[in-house]
Amino acid sequence: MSNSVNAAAEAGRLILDTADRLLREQCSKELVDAAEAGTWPDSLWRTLMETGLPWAAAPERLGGAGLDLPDALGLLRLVGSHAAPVPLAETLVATALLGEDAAVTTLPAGPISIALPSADSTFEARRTGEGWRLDGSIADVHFANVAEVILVVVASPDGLVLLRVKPADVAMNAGRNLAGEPVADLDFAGIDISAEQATGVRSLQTLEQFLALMALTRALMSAGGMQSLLDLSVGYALERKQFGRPIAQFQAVQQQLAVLAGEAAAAIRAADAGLEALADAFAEDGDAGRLEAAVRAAGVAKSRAGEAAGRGAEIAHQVHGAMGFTYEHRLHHRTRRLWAWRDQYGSETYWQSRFGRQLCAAGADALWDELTRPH
Amino acid sequence: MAQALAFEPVRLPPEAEALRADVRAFVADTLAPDFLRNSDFGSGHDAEFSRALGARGWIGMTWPERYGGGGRSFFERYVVTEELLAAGAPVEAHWIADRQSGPVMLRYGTEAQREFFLPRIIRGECFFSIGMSEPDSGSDLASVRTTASQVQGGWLLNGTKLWTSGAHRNHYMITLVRTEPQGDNRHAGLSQFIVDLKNSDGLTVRPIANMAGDRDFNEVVFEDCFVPDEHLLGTAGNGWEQVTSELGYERSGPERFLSSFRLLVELIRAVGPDPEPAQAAAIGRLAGHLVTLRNMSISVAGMLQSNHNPVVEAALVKELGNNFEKELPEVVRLVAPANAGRLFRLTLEDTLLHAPSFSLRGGTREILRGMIARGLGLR
Repeated sequence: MSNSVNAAAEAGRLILDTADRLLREQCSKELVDAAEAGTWPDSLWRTLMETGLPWAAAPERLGGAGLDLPDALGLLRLVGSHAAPVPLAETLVATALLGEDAAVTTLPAGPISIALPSADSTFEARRTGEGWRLDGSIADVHFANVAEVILVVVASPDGLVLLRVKPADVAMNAGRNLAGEPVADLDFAGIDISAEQATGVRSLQTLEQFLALMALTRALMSAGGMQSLLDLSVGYALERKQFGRPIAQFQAVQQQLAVLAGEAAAAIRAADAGLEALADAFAEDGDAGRLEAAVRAAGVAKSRAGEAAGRGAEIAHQVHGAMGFTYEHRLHHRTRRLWAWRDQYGSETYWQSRFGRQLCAAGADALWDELTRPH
Repeated sequence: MAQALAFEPVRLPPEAEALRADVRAFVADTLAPDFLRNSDFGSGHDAEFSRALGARGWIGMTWPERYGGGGRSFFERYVVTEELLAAGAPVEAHWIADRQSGPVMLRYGTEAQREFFLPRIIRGECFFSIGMSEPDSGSDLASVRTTASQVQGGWLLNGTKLWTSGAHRNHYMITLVRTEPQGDNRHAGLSQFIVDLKNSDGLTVRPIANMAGDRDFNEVVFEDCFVPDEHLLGTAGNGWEQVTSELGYERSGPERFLSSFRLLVELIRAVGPDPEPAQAAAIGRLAGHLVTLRNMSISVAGMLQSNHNPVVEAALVKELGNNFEKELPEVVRLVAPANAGRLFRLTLEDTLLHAPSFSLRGGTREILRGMIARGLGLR
């Protein structure tokens, strides 16, 4: 391994350690409760901005830290393990992609939301001279009502375009999901977006690639959430006594926690593998084969983490007993997020079906090669 | 934080990837077209195939060159073993010798033992069985009752070993016995011997058919069976440490999640290029699990390459891998097309009939979960 790779790895570890400490201190039970009840965690976001984490992958010329996006995304595991109620994933991705265009001279200062239309939405974007007119609606846009700007992702013949929309300019039906995260349905009703608010995306070419990138963010957050479930459950089992001894001493409990550990380990490895494939794709700027490999790996990461989340949350709650079912306990900050994230940006079935169709098209005798070919 | 989840990313090095095409070509050239493939490492004992593999340098790949070994990395061995399993090649004859008997001799054996056995194993001429379980000792291995008592020039073995795969065909067995009566420390007083299965007096091998109809299992009975001093493996009384290390080689390899792989291949063949939604989802799900397990297993190969002893990580791979290979036929049968055909049916039946053993051999699911729990600090 070269020295520069070691230095980058070392710098990455340093950032992760700093972020871990910061989020551990900041994301108290009270803060997460308040955020879920509708109070924007302003002090948390300000502290994050002071350390530069949301702009970690934005270029230095715009005030970012200039990390490669795949390196910066490793931070998202911490969003999961600390149940951080902020759009760090969206803001990291948005500032990295906006910064790819030399014409962009400033980044939005606040939190950013991303509106990615699904194939079956009524959303429509039409060119109007130099600008764009947006119609129809996009459902379940995370953090739309607390963001400074919403980036609407649009496919055009020249590639993907990010349109900056002010939250005040769209009709918004805002609410919360089961994790208490803000979500909103956006109704565009023919609003016009000027050319100055449009930025071309360089490193991704299709809406599906964008979907995969966002799916990977959820897989990484879920991987962090799984580690946290395991830590909380092991800790609780060692401390909680029944029949005169810690429940950790019962084989029935040990066996369940071993299963949880396996699910957590698989989720973490799958999410990291998704990140590694994305790093390969970014290293070979725009290579279609590598991008497709990254989409596939992101899909495996998302679906494996989603399955792990369901099984893991079930075990964690069983081990925690009635205590973990109370509002007072912080376990539900993790489990409710895991349940929410697994249904965002494509469920297990969505990504498994995509992979399955590709494998069938390749044929039985190509299966092994499809699964092992280094990308 | 729990320390059990340290599966560092590992990328197979180019020299390992380069072997892939060679193994595929070799398998295509060597196996008859009508060979019924089975990715279970315990199916298909073919001495001729093993000798051909030995001639290619694909047995004892990581062992030192002075014994005829390849001096290659664990990654290169990993690629060869996973390619053979995925192709459904008959690897049973040399599998145990290559995976654990040789490595245990390298670690604990005498120079004379290494010089005698390793070159023969490497050439694919010397096959080993595992002599651990007994009628009253399964998961509780330390309770073995077979004894060895010292006599002039050697030891006399008495007792019975059970579930000894291949003992009727293989040449030797590394067997765990008690050399001192059990005291307070039940892990003390155990020893390992290399027993000659072909040329020993007082040794009887009796077949036990399994539920799939295979004649692979055996009962091996020792009645004053003489084993010479030079076939004591390692140190008398150190058997527990040695056997634990031997089991470590058993647990993280691709054979722990590929046993049902050929069934997934045959499902895709039966489904064709245009799957129903449920078929696509099932195939994609199983493939995603397999990709992730392989990733974890390669990570463990990386730990072995760096001389670490990844006990808990290996147990996690086996636990997840066994669950996967047992679940695979259950998922596949529910989405298979009605006209899937004879090859599909035979593969499904063969997989189902062997599946109960997947989470028993090499340490039961319950024992492995206990090891994981220990790694989590629960016991």
